[in-house]
Amino acid sequence: MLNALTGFAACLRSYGLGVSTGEVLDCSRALAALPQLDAARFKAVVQGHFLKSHRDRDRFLRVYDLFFHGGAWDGGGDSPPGMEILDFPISEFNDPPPDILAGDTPDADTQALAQFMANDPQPFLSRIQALQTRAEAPSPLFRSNLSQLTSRLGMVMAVDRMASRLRLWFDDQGQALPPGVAARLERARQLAVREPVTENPALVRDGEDGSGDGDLARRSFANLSGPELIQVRALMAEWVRRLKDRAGRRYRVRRKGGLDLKKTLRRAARYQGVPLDLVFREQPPKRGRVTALCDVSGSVWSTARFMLQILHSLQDCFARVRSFVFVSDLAEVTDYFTDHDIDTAVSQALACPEINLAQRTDYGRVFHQLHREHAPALDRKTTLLILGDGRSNHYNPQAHVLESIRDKCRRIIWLTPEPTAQWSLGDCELPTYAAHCHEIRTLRNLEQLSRFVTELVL
Amino acid sequence: MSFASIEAVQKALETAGYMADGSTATLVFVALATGKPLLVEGPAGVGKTQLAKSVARCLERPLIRLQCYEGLDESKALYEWEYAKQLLYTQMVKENIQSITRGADSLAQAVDRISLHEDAFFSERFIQPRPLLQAILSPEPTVLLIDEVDKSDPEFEAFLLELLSDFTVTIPELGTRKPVTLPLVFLTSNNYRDMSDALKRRCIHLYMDYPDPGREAAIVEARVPGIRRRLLEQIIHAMGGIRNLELKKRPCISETIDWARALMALEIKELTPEAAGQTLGLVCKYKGDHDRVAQALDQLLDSPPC
Repeated sequence: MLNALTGFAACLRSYGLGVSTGEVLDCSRALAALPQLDAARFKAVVQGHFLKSHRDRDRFLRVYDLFFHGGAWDGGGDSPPGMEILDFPISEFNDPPPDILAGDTPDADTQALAQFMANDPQPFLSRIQALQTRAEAPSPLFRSNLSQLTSRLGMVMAVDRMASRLRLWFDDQGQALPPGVAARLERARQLAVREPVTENPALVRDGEDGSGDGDLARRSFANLSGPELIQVRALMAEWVRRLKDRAGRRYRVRRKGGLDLKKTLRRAARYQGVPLDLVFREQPPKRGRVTALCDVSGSVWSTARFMLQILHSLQDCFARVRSFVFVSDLAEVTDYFTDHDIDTAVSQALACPEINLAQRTDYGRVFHQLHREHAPALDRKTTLLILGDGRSNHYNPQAHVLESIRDKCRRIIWLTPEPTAQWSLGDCELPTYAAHCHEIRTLRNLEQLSRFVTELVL
Repeated sequence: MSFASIEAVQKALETAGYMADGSTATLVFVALATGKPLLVEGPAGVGKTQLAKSVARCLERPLIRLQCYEGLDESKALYEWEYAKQLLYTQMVKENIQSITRGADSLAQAVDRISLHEDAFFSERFIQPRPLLQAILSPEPTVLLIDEVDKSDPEFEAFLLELLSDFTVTIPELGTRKPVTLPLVFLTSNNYRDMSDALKRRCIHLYMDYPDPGREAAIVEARVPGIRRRLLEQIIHAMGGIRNLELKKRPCISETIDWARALMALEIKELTPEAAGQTLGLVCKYKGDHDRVAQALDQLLDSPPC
């Protein structure tokens, strides 16, 4: 029995679930104390001792099934971080007709894909990596940020062509597409659309916000599906609550001021003039003010709504939050978020008369409006957050307006959903604006968002 | 009194009005047998506190409850010196003190003489035991419920570690107090924040989720005796549907029970959309939730269970 438990504990550990020796000991003692043992009770006791967080439940159950019941890996669900590439679905067909796999016009993508289908994933993986890490010098004639997208599109189309060829071939044989083949095609597609991890994961690792749902938190906001969006929102609500808690605790410690002599003496009267109870003055903590400026056009909007939601749910951690949204004109939306819940607020914000989604983004005009019409939103205590991709459709960037805004506020932080490599491409004005910002960071998933807001609050 | 088997635990809890599932009964049994604390986690209102109360009732042990909150410290959880009482006693025995110090040559000698008697002022007489010390010093075994431990500060959590591992308490003036009897400890948490690994390691972990419809029906039947079968089935079915909606706060078992009681009190025999709409305040605690459920009400009651 003890052997099985230690073996199981070792499996759990290698799967990223911490189990201590003490817990193994406790568990074996508890099992010995049970009068009769059946499968359900055994599982309940082992779960009670080894699984200490509800979030790890799915992972625990999977290892449990694998270890004690030899259950088959279904290939679905989340894998341990970094391991997802290695899940290579087992294919049932052994003799793929090479001409069917290669197709009529064999290009490099199709060839790599054919090898991937024939049990050799290496060329395909290195091709994907080459696509994702390629940085191009901007061409002086035609500036565009589409090259990364188009090259990946080619790969996805190759996968689709392969899928239809295989389906036709299997149809001719009079059989359906085997699930193994379908799973492998799906894996190839996932690899092709997978977002590259821009940061070095070994370098930046703050365990504090480790939510256990790493995969979801690292997925770009723009690529989330409907149910995932709800999941991310739930994760975010939980995280906001924890952050508020932490902020509250810090503020309380910081609030302690000097000795309040008057109150201490008054209390001392209870104990014959001996000052047993010391009373300290309270200092209200200094909280920052935040003005958020969000681009709501196109791809930025998916990130902007999360940003707005977080800022407004953390309102008591700041002295004041004001938020503006813009496409080509600026509109203040603070009131919507304070009066309504997030969904209503979002739809109302988009229905603002100033917001015309058909128009083109014009950053220069927006900065000008902010500077001229909403001057009270900026003062020396305010942090200005600008959320946008900086793509100003070749309008005048008017960087000098941003410079005079900078003189008015405490700091300017620019958040962009695009990775650094793409800033120099196309109509992106970020390099121009960079000179006037205190900080520019990439913000495209929950992990980055939570790290940023934590720094902002604490 | 202790239990002979897991079935006995389940049966005893049932007579106390608590429907425990297999894993809950098993872990309660293990906690009793090994003397380890049981950390119960789960959404609000699934019966975490009720579990501790029911166990105390069927073990016939007194229940000592410590409600945790932000700012809770040792003086409120463990013990406190009663300064006022000490001062009062000093006033009353002033003359005795004078008789002790009479004839002393110097101030130092007087202090020395008094120091021989300082035990009289730092004795258990002047200690006010708070829940944790009460549970440890109680001559009969108790059930100690540390409720909503996630609301307490991390410092308090660290302090609990010493207590939970060997149940000894050190009072600097008096020395270490050993437990007279080992209490059965329940900790409950709403996952408001994550507990430290050290605390979790010392506890047996039990996660309670919303019950399946069958168990929920049994619970309501036990708590609301005399409810009609048809109404009960409708309530359970509607509750299942409401929990699947995307709500700010999902209703839990206690809300099901309250709802059933209210419908009984109103003498409603059949759950129609009108009746449900009028009593929705018992189920939904936010206006947004209320509106959303009211909209979906026709659908929720549409396909009654057969």
